[in-house]
Amino acid sequence: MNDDYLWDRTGEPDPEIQQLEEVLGTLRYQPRPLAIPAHVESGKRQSHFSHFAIAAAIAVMVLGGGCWFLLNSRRAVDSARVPPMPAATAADPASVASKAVGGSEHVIRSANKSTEDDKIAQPRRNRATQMLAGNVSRSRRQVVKKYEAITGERIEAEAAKEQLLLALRVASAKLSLAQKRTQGTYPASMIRNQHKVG
Amino acid sequence: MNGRSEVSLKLASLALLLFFGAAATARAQTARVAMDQLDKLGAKASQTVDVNIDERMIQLAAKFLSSKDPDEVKVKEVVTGLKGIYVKVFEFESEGEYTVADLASIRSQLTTPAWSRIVNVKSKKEGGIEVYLMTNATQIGGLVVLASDPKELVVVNILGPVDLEKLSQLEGQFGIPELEIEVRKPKQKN
Repeated sequence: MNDDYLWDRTGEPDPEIQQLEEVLGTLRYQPRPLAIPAHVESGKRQSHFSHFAIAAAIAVMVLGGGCWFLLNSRRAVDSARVPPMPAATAADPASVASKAVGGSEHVIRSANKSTEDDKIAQPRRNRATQMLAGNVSRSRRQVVKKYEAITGERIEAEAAKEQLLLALRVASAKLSLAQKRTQGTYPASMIRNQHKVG
Repeated sequence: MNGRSEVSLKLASLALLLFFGAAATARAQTARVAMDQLDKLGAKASQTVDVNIDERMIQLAAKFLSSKDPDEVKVKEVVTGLKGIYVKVFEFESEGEYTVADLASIRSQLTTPAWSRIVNVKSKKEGGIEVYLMTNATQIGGLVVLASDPKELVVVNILGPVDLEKLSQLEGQFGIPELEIEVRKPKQKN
């Protein structure tokens, strides 16, 4: 049997093979344009989504950086203004609490205002921020109170010391004068005698 | 109703009597001399010094006196045990700004047996100096110095055991002039 027909369709054809060719010929590749189903998303929309994701990531990074910068700058300002803090604390604890966290509450709130989830998460965030601010301001108030107590006591002691030395100065000066004038007018010092008795 | 108000009135009178009696007793025991009546002279004075240091303030000041500085150590020893130091100084531009009655208001408080005047120097030119000591048994309980120049009035009231020997050791320290008070230690009897 000549197999040339199987290789290059030359020679005598085999009827069985021809029959198989006819049967399988219906499944032969037929070139046609690609038809994409309607439910499959196109590549163009996917590229928009990735752009949005990148933009959102950049926005989050920018906001995070902004919050960090504001927090650090506010901490630096607050640390430089430690002594006046008690007045503000006594005047408006809420404002001090928001200051204590470096204004991050305001920044976070403004950044997420447009999202729907923010409406649900906002009260929780507020509570957390208030708790954090409360803890920070409480510890800061304690530090300030200790600082005030120490400095107040020192100032009071310095004033008392000055007054004490002034009083001793006056008392000793007048006693000295009395001693000198007594020695000039009296034969014996009465101070000396009195002390001897005492 | 009248009975109740009468009882209340009696109780109030009794409380007032007890209060004033206790205050007078406390004042007599603590050697504190009232000097508030002299405050009116402040309006006439060109310079006024008013020092009021109670026991708490003395203790507070003593805490901040250095224990390494020998001068401050001596000051600390002097003020230890004192109950109060009160000083009033009035300096006037002209003579006759204060009256004898002002001095009498101080002297009248020192007429009790607890007080004894140990120095009384009078001079028309230089004024007078009086030194009073309150003695409790063998211990000095208080000191009053009343110095009256024609243009100056000084009242010093020190409460507590004033140690003149230690006070004399403050000579020349912190601007305190030398007192030159010689103290003879009592001879021990065999």
